Amino acid sequence: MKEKNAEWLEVHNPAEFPREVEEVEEPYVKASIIVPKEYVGAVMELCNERRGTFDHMEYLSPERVHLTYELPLAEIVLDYYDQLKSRTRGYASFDYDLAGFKPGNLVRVDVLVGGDSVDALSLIVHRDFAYDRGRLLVEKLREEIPRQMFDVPIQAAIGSRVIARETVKARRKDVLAKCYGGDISRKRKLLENQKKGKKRMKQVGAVEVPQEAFLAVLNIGQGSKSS
Amino acid sequence: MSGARHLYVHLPFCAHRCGYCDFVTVVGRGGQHGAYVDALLRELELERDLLAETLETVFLGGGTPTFIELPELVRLLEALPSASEVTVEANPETVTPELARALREAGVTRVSLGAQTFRAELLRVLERVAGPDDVRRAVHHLRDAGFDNVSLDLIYGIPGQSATDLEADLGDALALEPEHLSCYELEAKPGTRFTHAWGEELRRQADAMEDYFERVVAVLTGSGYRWYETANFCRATESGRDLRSRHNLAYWLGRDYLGVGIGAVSTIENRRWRNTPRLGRYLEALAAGRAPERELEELDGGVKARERVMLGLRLDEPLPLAGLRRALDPAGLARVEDLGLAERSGATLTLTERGRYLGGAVTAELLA
Repeated sequence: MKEKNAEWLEVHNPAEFPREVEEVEEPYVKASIIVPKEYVGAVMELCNERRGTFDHMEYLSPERVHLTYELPLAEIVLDYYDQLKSRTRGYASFDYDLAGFKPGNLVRVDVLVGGDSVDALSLIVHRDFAYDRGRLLVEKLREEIPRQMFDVPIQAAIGSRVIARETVKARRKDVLAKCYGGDISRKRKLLENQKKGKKRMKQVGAVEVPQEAFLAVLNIGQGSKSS
Repeated sequence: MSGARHLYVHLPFCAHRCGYCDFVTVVGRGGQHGAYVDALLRELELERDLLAETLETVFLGGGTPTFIELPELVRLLEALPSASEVTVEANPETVTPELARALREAGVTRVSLGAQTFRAELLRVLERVAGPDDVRRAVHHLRDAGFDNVSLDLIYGIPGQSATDLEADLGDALALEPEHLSCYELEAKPGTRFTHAWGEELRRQADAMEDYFERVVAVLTGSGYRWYETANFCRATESGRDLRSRHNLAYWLGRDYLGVGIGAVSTIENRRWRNTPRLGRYLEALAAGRAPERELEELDGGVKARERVMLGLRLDEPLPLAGLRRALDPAGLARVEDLGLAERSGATLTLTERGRYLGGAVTAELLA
């Protein structure tokens, strides 16, 4: 991705995406898809959802069609291939070549957990998808982040504007009900294991975030309405 | 070493094994009660050197200690060393006027009744033998026999228990003016019949029951009880008489204790052991004059210190931190202080009220 401020800057991950941009370009691919003719409609629908531009279609035989599309690379890196296979019952074949950079209306969506911005969770997405993806991401995070000893707000924001918000409610109780002479060892081990679990989590400010939560950003589905 | 001043005696026999119970219990076996009492006394004889000259507390737990034939129970009590607090656990339906008198005459000072709930339908869910009136009757028999230290166990979070049921249970318990109350959240322990039958239901109602613990504390402290341990309350008296369970307090203060009977645990200095839970093996070993098979655990200084933190923070009194620094994680300590869950003053640590509701999580946070 490129960004123009005074100079062009190459950006490889969302954390490097500047707060203020004049112009953004993103990498594109030329996608080549071969599919039985009855699935042409499904493939076109998927490519349109992914901001694709139709380029060319030819019949290789009465049954088989070759389609070419230009698509932003960002739209195919996650789950595009899975969607393509599932919408064509596995009949589609897919190949692509990089096809240079083109201007794109991209924004950076930041995620704040307990008020702290988490770089590993930020996204660069097309402005039209920012709201939906932001909302999906904070919902997913609410499910993945365990309840803590205090309320944890989870926000998605573009710059300083919050576009989605969820709260992981504080726990109200967490005690070992009984503890007498016969079960001190067992109760101690329970708490020691609880502590080990805490150490495995990533600390974001005062919030403990399990590793799985970081996968949420990959699982929100690149714009697919069906997932 | 002057020896342990706290003795636990396990009496595993029960009329019926309640679905939620995961203690070492044995149903029925009337024929073996006498042999078991013999074995207990023999084990005690073998371990006599581990006990101090004078004991502070003796605790007969179960099982249902009052389920065994009364003459056997009396024989046991009379043979046990005396102590200033002698507690016997009892199921309400087993408490007759004769039993109450016999316990009193045998030197028992305190009776802990497993009431659990006063709602008949919830008692059925727990598979308890007693009905609500058995509890009331038992308390009256104990009072008539002269007991001035009676504890009731209550369980909350029973499948189907509404907030109104809980309030009613607390009201019914308070009406009996017990000196002491233990209130436990029902634990669906893995592998119990109960978890199999009710685990799903308990998960469903977990959110609705989340504030039951707070309600229990609010009602009991509002009625003049002291919330002296996570799950234990005692009446605060004008005379200043301390009605905390001194035996259990010994566990929470990290004192040494000797346990005899099947499945019983002892902790003496840096060693902890658990007797075999198998009745036959236990009887056989002691009949032959041998100590029963035991599972031994060495407790190094680090473990002891962590246990002191875990147990000490269950109490309402400040935990002295001397010697416990290595068991604590300084960053965790700073976090729980920042969150208002614990307060340090001088060389002690005390949980705040909210910290006590989250005592398990706070302790885990604090441990190094």
